[in-house]
Amino acid sequence: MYQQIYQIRWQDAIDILFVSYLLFRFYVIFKGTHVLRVLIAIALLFFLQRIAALLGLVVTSWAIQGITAASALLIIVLFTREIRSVFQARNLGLLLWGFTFKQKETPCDMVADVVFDFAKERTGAILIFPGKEDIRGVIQKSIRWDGKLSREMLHTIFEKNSPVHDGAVIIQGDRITEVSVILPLSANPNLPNYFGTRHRAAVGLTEVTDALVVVVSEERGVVSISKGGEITPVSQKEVFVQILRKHLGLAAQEKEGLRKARLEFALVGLVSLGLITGTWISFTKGYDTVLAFNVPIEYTNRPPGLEIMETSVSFVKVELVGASPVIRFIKPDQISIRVDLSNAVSGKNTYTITKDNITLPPGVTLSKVTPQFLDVFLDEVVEKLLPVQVDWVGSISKDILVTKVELEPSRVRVLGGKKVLETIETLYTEKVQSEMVNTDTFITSRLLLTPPSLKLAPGQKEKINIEVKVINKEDWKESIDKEEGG
Amino acid sequence: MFYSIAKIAILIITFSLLREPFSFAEEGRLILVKAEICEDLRQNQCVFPNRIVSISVGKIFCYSSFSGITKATNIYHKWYQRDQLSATFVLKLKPPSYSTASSIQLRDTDKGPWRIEIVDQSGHIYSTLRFSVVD
Repeated sequence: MYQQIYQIRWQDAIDILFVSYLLFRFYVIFKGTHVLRVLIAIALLFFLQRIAALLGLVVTSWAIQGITAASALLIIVLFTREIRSVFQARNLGLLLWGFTFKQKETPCDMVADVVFDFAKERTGAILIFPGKEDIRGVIQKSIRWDGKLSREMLHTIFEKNSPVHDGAVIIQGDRITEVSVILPLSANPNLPNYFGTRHRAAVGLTEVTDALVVVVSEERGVVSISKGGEITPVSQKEVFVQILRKHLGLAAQEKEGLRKARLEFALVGLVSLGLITGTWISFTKGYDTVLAFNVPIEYTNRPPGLEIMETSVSFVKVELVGASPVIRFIKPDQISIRVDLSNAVSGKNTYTITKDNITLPPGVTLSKVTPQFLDVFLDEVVEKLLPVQVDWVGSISKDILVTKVELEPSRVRVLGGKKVLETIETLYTEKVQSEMVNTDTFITSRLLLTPPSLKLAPGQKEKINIEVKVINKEDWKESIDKEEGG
Repeated sequence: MFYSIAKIAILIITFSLLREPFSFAEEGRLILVKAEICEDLRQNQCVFPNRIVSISVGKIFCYSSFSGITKATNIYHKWYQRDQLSATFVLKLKPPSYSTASSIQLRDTDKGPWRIEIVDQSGHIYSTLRFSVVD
């Protein structure tokens, strides 16, 4: 683990940061939608799969992998609308780096306007703004509403002909959550006689909870606020707003909300970073993956006038160690071995292949080089005229004599290393079967240049024509006898 | 008279040309008259000259004869198998002896192309003979 952290490359850092940011942006963009929940579920599945894989639970890992893949596909199909709306509605800046610190605040001014309108119109209304305590255990009956709080919505609810105008509404944030709420009536004997059911209900609730209840008197057109079992008439809109805001804690909440949102984003950022780092580590856990490549050797800075005549090896086997996801994507052409010949001399030069000679792709380390030593033979290139001889193989009849073997060309100019050519006195053809030689014949063969560093000089032909003259041993004897007799 | 002189001159030139492949002798140097690879020697003469020799022959000879011998001298037969010196024979030429030969026993490892250089003490190559040993 520590070794892995030590060997983090700059590419890995970018990799982790980039994907962490992507994950973070996903949260920011899809926050509050169902997509995020499903994404979190998929992420959990993915981690489960990684854990199963690490534990060697092959079938479990395989099954979770399948489910994860299917879920990822499903999310696109099921949430097409949400995804589209995100990408359509928001500008590029908002997608890539924007933040929305949107608060679900109660629009106090709007509520005040509506409430005082109700008072003017003599429309009875009762609005509950719950505090920190849960009021669900106190209210006797209600109808689930969950509608966006708006001027029109409040007017509609408390319209005399509305089936839900009797009873209170519960306002939480910017939503009306319940309507036709029936509250317990206060048994306080000190309440004025002119207080109707609404007022008693308001006090009844605030006596037992920390909620704030706004009551609009239908008969008197008075706005009253009840809190902590007390009820007070409020004639000024500004005072109403002030009391309501204080109850909702909006003055402090603005800053607090911003702070919370920032804290949330910071936390999500850290979690994203942690998750992706964990994923990276789980990916790179198999650091002992070894892969071998046969790499050709490149020679640089060859001294002028000298040619490479021969090398002990053409390829070097390079064994690399690294994380399997990194190793898997390495191509042989990403590895190179360079040998600097600037100090080479004519003749044999021995080099040790070290990591300095080898260029590796990032993220892998060199484990082994085979062979470690390399012999490079350099020589001055010279031209030499050499006779050609046929390399006969196979068998030949004992009854014949080969009296003449003439080659065309009989001599060939070759280019090669001075030292190499000093040891060569003859060029040989490719192997020619001597079974072909029974009578006078013409054969064509090719030069076999050995060592391969030899090259034909310009204008020289590789093809060799062979003329062979044959005589029977008996005929030869007769001709000798005639000569001696004559 | 002119025709007689011309005939003699033509005869001399013809004789000289017939002696060619071994070139004219330099001052004080031997003249190689004949050099051959042969399967046998009889009465100091080359028998069955051959350029592709079957290993079953068992033995192979390099025959050389010189002219212009005025004093005892050494010549060398250098046998090379594929450019690798395999054997060097020091052969004595002493008047009136004018021919000499070297030979090797053929073994299975001797198969392949050979060449024999006939050289004198100063390293002058009189001739290079090439042959092959096959099955």
